[in-house]
Amino acid sequence: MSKQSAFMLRYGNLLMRYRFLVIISILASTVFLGMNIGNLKLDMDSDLWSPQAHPYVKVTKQIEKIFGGENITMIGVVPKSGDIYQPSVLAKIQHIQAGLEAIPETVRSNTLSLAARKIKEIKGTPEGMEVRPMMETIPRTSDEIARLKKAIATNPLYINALVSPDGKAAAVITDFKIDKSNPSYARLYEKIRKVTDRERDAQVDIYLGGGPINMAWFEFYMMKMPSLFGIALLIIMAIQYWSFRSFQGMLLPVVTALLSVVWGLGLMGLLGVHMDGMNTTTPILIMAVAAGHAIQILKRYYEEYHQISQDKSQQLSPKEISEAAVIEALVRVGPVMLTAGLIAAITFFSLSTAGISVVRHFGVFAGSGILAALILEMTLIPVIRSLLPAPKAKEAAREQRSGILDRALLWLSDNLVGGRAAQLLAVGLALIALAFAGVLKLQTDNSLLRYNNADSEIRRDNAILNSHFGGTSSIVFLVEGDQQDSLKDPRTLQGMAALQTFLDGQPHVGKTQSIADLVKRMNQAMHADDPAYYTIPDKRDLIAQYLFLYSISGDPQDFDNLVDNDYRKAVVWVYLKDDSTANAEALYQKSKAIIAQHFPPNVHVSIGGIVPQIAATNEELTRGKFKNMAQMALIVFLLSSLVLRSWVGGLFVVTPLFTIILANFGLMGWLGIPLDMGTAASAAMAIGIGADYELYLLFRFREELAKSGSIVAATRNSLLTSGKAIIFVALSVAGGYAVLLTSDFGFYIRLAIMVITTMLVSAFSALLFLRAMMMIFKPRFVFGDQRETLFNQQALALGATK
Amino acid sequence: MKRTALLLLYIGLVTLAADCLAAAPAADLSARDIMEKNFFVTKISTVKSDATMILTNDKGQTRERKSTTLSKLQKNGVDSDLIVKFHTPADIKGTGFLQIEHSSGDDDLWIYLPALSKIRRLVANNKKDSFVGSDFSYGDILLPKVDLYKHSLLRVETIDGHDCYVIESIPKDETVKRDNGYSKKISWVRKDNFLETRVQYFDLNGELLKTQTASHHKLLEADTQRWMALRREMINRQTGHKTLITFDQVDAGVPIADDLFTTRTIERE
Repeated sequence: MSKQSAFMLRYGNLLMRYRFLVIISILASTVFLGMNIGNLKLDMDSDLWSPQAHPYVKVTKQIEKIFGGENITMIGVVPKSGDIYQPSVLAKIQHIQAGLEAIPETVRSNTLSLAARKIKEIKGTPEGMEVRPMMETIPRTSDEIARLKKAIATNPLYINALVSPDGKAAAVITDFKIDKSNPSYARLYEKIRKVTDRERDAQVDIYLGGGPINMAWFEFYMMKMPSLFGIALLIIMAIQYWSFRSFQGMLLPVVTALLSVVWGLGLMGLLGVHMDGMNTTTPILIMAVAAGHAIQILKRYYEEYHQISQDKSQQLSPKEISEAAVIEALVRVGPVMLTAGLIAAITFFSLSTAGISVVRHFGVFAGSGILAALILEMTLIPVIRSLLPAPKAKEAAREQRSGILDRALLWLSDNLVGGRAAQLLAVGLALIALAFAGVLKLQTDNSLLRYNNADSEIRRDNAILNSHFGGTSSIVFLVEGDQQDSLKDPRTLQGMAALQTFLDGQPHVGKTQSIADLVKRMNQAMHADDPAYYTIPDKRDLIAQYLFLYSISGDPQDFDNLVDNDYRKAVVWVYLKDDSTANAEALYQKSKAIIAQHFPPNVHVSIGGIVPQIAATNEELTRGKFKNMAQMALIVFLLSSLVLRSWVGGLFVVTPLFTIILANFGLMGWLGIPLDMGTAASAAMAIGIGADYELYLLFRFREELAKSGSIVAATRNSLLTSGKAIIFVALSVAGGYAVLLTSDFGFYIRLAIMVITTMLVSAFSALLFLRAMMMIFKPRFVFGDQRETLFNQQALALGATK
Repeated sequence: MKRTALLLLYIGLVTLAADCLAAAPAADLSARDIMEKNFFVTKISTVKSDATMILTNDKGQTRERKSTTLSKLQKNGVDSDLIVKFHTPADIKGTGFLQIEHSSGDDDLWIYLPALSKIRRLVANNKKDSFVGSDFSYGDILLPKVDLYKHSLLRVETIDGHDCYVIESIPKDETVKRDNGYSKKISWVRKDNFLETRVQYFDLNGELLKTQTASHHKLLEADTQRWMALRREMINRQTGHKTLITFDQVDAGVPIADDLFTTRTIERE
């Protein structure tokens, strides 16, 4: 008996002796951790989804801090017939403006529409300048309406931003301050909807877009998770029932699964790790993996029970057989369960070094859930199993009955040992190569908007808003001078104007805005509206005096979204028709030449905004993903090598994982599923859970080989036992995630597709690849020093059957 | 003895009457009367003042402007003519304003930008608009007519050692409300000089919008009992932005010619 087995035996006996103590401790832990679930915070902070250390994100944060715009939301009012210049439509804009201003979270100074006080008409007259609110009262007569139309036409700053160029749509743009300690966008959305729904009628359509709306929808989909979780539980229960064909067999894995979820959630609460949009699906993973692992040990229990009850030499009662079977199962499966479980938990925990919060949370959550499952499987399952009445003869027989799975596994086993290992491996490799070709088509996309289905309300609204206005996506150029009042330098403003002229001519760019626009407009107005003066003046003092004049004509914070208090920093807002990061990157690269050419050397220009943030997230996810996966693979390799006491063994475990990952990315390419936060997590699962499959199979094969001394018997027995259990684990995880396919949220659907395929591919890979590799490479760590003899015997046996 | 008693009675009555008379202004003044006194207490015939305006945003960043103002009360005793010249920051030095107030309509406003060396007429500024880009509105500085509001005395309170009437003023109608931008004002008016020490302004939704504190009260015209607060601070409670105006030098009663208030004056350095 090996050292591990002797330890497990002692452990098993100890466990049986202190059964009730174990149950009480588990109950106490469950109550304690369960109470900590109350501390778990649901965190809708959008910062969790982007790498906070990335330069684009840092610039974005800086811009938001100085200029606001963190939660820009756009409300589009589109009359069903005619243009917006109808008193009743204009009144609706005024009502929406007032309604939004009354919401406590609204940043009033950033709430802009034709009806906003801050939106001024600058009008040049022969004797001077007129600055008036654009629409202080609703124009009623045709003269008043004509006046408003003209005012908008002569103040191009607002066209494409607050009014569409054709006058068929008007926008109310607003911004919100969200309590970072408990952000909820769903509640905010309800408040916005209350304001807009009052104005919705047969005359107009109203559309909503922007970050907070995206987050609110995300939150709505998240709220549906508990019921989806319930359905996932039912599916997993059905798979368990199929596996054990008895209620008793099903019960234990399900209890373990639920307790693991409670422990995992409680541990998150205890550690102060927040629950977020991505990790609302993680309980399904924990539940499925825990149920799956329970299968491994319980299957072994039934096997041992069957074995011992066959042994008529010992006169044992069913109760005694059951207890002996529990200990035997522990002795056999315990070491590998500990090893595989720890490796899986550690690999998930290693994600806690990732640059993106949701990925870190995922690592901690999945890791603690698996750790919890491991502890429960090593304690609760053996204890309860020994306390439960022994399986009835009929029940035990039913469990042993072979079905379609067994026949398939037998076929596989026969072909593996029948000398077709090389062919099987070749076919498998060809399939993977085919899948891998899809990697070339793989796209990375982390647009929160596109996490929604193409036909969702939010994407439809967004498309309509983009068709009328400058765009709901943005890039922001941050212009920083080296001293106070740098922004009053004509060269800096001329640089900004040149940059805007360039950007306005680019495809996808719908609108640009900056303080330079206002200076130009002031210069024109102070020269009797002569279009020749729509330029940046050459004199610094004149610019300063214009800015002063404008600032005293308006409210103290009229400029806050364009230039900072010291005139050291300013922004150029660039609105885009789409949030393609590739287009944004190209735009930035091209802009660099313009910036170098037109800005004075002491002025620094950098970018931030929604689209660059998505680009940063994509970049981090792609780069970070490979780092994370390499890190996880290295951990698997080292730990597997350690427990198998062989570097070759470590390689054997790790190699199939690469094929799984390649197939995973390739399939995403073929299926047109982008690499996003969720689908990337499925690759991490492939490593964490895939390694687990392989270890079970390797250990079982070694055990069977030691017992029978026959490769044929070892292959067959290991496949029919551990192999079968692996299939049930994979089915549990896949089945659990399959409920997400019924969601209306693209992010969840894509995640489900990838988890399901990853689970199937990794089970397939463990069953096929590892075996084929073993047969071909005949490693010493499996076959020992007598491997030549063993394989000769196998050849002889094969020859005899032929 | 009888006479002594009568005398005592007489003295008692006189003292009582005198006490009553002394208290009479308080007892007899209606909230409207108090606010009318408050309206006129700052109407000083001529003033020359040097002021510093410090604008502080919600992040604590400040901007400072220094200016000299000349003002003269018009013949109607209500409206004023003003000339403001800015000295700092350096890049706006020499920028000047001329404002002819019309309480019955829009004010006339001209600006001179030295870098453009031109006078330009500005048409703007409702009562509710910001006064030269500060947290004060024009209506906060040059108070609207008393009867546009309904006033009621809430209580009497002591602030910084001064007894104050606490008066609530509510716009008479929707137009007044809209034009001034407030649904309510609460003023703490000092009993002794009728100058306010504190004012709270409520927005159209009834929420507290701004708070003004006016301190360092100085008597500028003894005969007419005209006062001025040398330090006024307005804090916008909703944006966190604030404006502090301090009058560093104030000369009342300086002779100012009527014809000074022309565009030519603001062009002069």
